[in-house]
Amino acid sequence: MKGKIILLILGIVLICTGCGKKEPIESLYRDAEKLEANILKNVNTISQCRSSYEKILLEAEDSEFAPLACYKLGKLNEIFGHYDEAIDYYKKLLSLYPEHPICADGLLSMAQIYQLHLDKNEEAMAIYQQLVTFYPDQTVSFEGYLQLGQRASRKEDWKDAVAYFEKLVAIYPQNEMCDDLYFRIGDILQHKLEEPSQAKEKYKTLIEKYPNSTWIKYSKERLAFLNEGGN
Amino acid sequence: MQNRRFTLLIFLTIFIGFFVSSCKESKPKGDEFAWDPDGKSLAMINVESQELLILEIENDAIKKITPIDSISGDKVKIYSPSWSPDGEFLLYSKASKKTLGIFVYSLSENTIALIDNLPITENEDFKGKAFPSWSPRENQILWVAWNNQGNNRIFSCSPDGSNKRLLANVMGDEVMPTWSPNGEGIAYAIFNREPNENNGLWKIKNDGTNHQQIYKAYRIANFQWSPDITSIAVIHENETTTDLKFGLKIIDLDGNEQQILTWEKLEIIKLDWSPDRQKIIYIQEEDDTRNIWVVDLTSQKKVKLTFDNLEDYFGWAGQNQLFYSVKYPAELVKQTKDEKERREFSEAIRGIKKENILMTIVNFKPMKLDKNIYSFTYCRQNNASAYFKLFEPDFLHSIIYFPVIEFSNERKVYLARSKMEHVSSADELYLNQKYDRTLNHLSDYWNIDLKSADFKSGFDVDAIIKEMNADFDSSRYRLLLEGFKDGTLLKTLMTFRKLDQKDKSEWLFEQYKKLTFHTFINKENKQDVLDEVFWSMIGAYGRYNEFDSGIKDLDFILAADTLDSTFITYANFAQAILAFENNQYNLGLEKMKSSINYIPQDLADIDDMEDLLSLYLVNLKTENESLFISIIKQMIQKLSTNENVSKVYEILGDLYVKTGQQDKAFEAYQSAVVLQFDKNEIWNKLLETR
Repeated sequence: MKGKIILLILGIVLICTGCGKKEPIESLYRDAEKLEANILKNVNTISQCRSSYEKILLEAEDSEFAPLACYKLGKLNEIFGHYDEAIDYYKKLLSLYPEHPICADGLLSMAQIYQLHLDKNEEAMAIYQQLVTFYPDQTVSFEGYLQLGQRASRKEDWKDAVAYFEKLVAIYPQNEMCDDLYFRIGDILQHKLEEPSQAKEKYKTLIEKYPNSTWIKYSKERLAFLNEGGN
Repeated sequence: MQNRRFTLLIFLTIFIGFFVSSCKESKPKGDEFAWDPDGKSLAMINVESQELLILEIENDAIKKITPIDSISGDKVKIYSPSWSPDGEFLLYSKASKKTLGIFVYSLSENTIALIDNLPITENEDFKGKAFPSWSPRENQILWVAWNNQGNNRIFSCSPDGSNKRLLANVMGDEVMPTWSPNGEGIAYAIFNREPNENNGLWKIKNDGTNHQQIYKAYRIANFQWSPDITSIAVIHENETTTDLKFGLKIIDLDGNEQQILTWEKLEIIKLDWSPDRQKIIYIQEEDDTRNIWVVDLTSQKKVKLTFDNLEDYFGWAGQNQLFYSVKYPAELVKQTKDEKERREFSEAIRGIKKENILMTIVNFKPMKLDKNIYSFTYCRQNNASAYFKLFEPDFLHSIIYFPVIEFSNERKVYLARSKMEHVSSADELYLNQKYDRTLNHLSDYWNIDLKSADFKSGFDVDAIIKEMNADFDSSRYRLLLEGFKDGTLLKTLMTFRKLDQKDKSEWLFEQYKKLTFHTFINKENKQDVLDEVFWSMIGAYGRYNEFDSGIKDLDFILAADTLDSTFITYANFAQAILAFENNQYNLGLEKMKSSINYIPQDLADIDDMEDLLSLYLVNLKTENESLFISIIKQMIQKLSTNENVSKVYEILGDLYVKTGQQDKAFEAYQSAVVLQFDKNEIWNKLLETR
């Protein structure tokens, strides 16, 4: 009898467990189906969107909308994972409309494709370099300086790293990362380049310019340490 | 479409062979222009005519053009003109199939001296064998005399060939002697394919003394003295096959390495110092992909300036400005066969061709300047530039490169010498709405002043035909007929209209009509002649974007009393093409209908009509469907014995597919395959209707 009860309980537990597993998987499947239906609904829209941009590029190559259409076509290809096509569109944008500000966005997208999707870091860095050289004042160039600064840090080219980070804080003083970067510059100057007086300047600037920064406490500690002759 | 063009090519090659031969493609190499040291004269090789010219420049205008030399006999090409430092002499080379002659033209004496005559093989590209050069500080020429055993002798001499001095005797495949910027020294490279301890960079004094190997390397691919003469930048190739095979370095004059600028996997083919010695550009190449990189010598940072699409590098224009061209980006938008054909058709009608984009970078700001530019040469002294512009003059797809001088006031002068160059210049000016200057070039084409009252003598068809009847070789007749067939007569007429010279344009149109009728009346090969006449007409109106005028002019021509059916067919067909290109689809179909109404049953070539119908079908609107079907049916009825009518059935089938009438489509395709049963494409379409 006792054995039967145990078997019954086990049976109920198994059924419940099975049901419990089935329910979420089925609902997952149903959700996926709904999403698929939505995607299919949108396929035509995507195709129409692409055709319209293509029409602009083909029929009005010299219009003000052509560079934007060219960029958008790159972006559409990028979204759908057609990275080579996306890069071709960005290259076309940069060759045909080099004066247009959207080129900076094109370069950033191209660098990110090389870096994140094609695993070609050196190519990506060359493009970040183009971005900060050709379009130094564009907002999207922030990412270029940051990537080049980080690469220089990884390669322990500390002077280069400081130069890139200093460009960043000079061009984009309102960026929310500026306090982080000031502390990073101070840190490199203090510990890698052994320039305590320059490091002190950076910590001071951080304290003055970004009084609400989470780095204030640490900057003050470092400043005190350096003022006492430490390095 | 390809078929049509092929057919046209054959017709036109036969009929205007002379004309075509005068516009054979001759792509500029990049060494055709040379500004003299003070920017007051420009030496140039006209690539079309292979003439060497000197242009005197004054107040942003060409004051005088002096032809210096041209090819004759077995000579095939003129190369690389360069000015002596005092601007008194012009050095250049002239190749035949077997020799390369080095010549110096003296401006004051108006004489040409032969300096040397060197053996070459046919089609030699002279790689590794530099052309002769002037010392930067005195009138001394430096050149290499070679033999086929790899013995290169470096010589110098005076411009008249006197004071010839042997400076060095070098065994090797490449030499590349180069003066230092102050003319006191000469650097040269030695390269032997087998490893050799002499391989590398050498220098000597300008009197040939003090030979010194300053850098050992398997191969120096290229080098350049720094502007301040403190160092030499070299591109050298490692003999070992490591990943990083090509290096760019700066070495001092004692051979010590100052700076390694880069090591690269891909071949570096050229370098160039910036005038302020702060930067070096280098060009990297892999297969068809070339890029310019610039290295900042202080920070050692390098930036790629191009996007795998460099075509030509033209050099620095100042401390921070560079000129170069990139290939025109390939078409990326995927097009259907129909769309592609529509585009090709339009480009052919309008004579549009895009090959490259001229770019400049000023302080690292890239800018697009112009399209289809070759051999761009900038002169700092007068802020002017000279270049060749590629031009596709007609639907014949012949290509010419015509020279342009652009002055500091942005005024462009089209330096036309040949008839083709005058037509190209006229086209460019017409499209830029500079009609008065268009007329100047057309005057040069016709050898008659079109602005004068007696211009009529060159176009009086009755008188000229009478003259031709008396003298079959009448030059006036030949020129008039040539201008008629290449579309220049129409272009002249359109220019008169733009200038509101009504009397002249109306009179010329009358002559044009007479000549049109004259060209086909009593001709045995009437269809071929008409094909040629009407396609040249379409090309002229298309090139000038004058589609409405074209349709209207043809209406006037069609109003004549005595026209035969073949002529009417062609004229209406030409109107249908012009209307199509002008997006007047309804009018175009009406003209097509009129054309087919008169179509002679023996008309052999209906490919062009079928192609146009296919294009119309792609753009067909519902309201025009019945008109389109009636055209097709009429064509089938008229050409029932022509085996090419199979294509018309196919178009009919395509129309029915487009309108969802699968059964009718099947029947049409069935009729098509019965006539041409080996056409797989039609079979596939037929089966798809089931």
